[in-house]
Amino acid sequence: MRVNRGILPSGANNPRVIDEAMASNADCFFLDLEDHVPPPEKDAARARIKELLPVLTRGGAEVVVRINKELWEKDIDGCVWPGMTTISCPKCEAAAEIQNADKLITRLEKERGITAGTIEITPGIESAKGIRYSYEIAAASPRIKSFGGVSPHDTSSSLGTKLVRGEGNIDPLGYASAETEWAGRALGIGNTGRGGGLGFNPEMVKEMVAKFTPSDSEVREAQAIVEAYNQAFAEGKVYVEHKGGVIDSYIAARAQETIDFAQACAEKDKQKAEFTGK
Amino acid sequence: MTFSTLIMAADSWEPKEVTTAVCLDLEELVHPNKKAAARDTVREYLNTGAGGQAGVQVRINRSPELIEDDLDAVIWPGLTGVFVPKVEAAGDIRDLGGKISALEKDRGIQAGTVKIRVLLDTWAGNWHAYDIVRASPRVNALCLGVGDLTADPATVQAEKYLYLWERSVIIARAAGVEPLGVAGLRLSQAYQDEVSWQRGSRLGYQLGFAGVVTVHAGAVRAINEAYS
Repeated sequence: MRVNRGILPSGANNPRVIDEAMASNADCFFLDLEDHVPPPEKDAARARIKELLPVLTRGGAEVVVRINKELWEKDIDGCVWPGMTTISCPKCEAAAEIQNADKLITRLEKERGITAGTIEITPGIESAKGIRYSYEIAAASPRIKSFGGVSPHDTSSSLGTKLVRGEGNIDPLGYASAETEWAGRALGIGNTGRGGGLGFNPEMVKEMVAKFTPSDSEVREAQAIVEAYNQAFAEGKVYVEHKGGVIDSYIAARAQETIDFAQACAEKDKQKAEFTGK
Repeated sequence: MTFSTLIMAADSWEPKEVTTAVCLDLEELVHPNKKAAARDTVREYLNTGAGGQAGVQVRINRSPELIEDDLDAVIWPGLTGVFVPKVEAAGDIRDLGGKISALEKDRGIQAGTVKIRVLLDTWAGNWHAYDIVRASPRVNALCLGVGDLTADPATVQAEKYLYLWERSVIIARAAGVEPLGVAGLRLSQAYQDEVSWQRGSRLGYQLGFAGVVTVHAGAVRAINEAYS
């Protein structure tokens, strides 16, 4: 199970990336080559990726790099190295863009001794056209493991929607995010409920990790639910009443997921502790 | 004339006076150990002709291991239709239509009698809804359960999923079938109080649904009131 509770984003040109990484307990590092890196600095930022990867991933953290759409070939070339988890491709508007990225990644994986298919792709949907073709884009490569949602800023520019809740507290991007999420779910790669948050400094990352880790009491309650359901099922029933509500197979499955996720978090934390010596 | 259809487990059901159409369930409400008994109940009920004018509807299992036995048990004179859940592709409906045709022929039922009501309780099924409901002339209704699509009960009422309901009405009407709302296909459904049933039923009526399917007996009154 994927554990991405706390994500530390950084421009890849940030000289303090490694210091922040050591301090932050992040499950994932998001390195940007796009909007957060001024054009004159992009080449140098790209060149750092290869040497950053082994350091950042030593504790089992994931690394995502957002490339530039217009510089996709150079940027992907700078990214396909051991340790890279995911390449984030912004402003996707057509399945062909993803297919081209996939082909290049495949060739480079082979040349550089990385197991074929290791590196994932996350398409960014940020425009009307991207929303319209979201299903085709999401289906364009097996490297896409999860899909859904839109990037608010650029999508708003593209659509002319405003970035605030409207009259009646309506979300102007509601349809856009629902449609893209739905495309992902229809393909079986929808975002699962297990969330995570961006932490813009190491303290925030720690808060995110703590927030998205199931608490002991949550896990105990989940275990009670699973036991109650299993007991009922063994007795030939398809549901059981529990604390004023009904537990059916769906509720039991969600509770089991909580238990499994807590286990995955514990394993991840152990890995990270070995890295940071804490 | 009733606007609600209540899905009830066939193994524990007994005929009685109700203000709703009934759909006998062989699927989720019936424990695996009890499915054989549930099939027997339906078969006997059909054979006694007790369905009368209203006819009998049954929710079958979609899984290959169970569907053949289900169809064998229920495709008898008196059956008006089957609800089929978890449909994901038009091919599922084509295959089902073919199986029903073969049984109608064997058992002297007029060809085309048994209708299909499609329960769209998966994301893929909803995405491909238009193709699915046109895959067989037997399909006469499309039922969308938004709450059953999401793991999170809070999203049932979120405005971002309202358009799924609106969309299902458009697709159903464009395909010439009835759009049916759903007031919960899961026993664990949140919002099981009178106020929620009333609000949901009124909204469904306003959106253009022809009726509502539910597993919750408590929702029947609110549904009938909203649609009358």
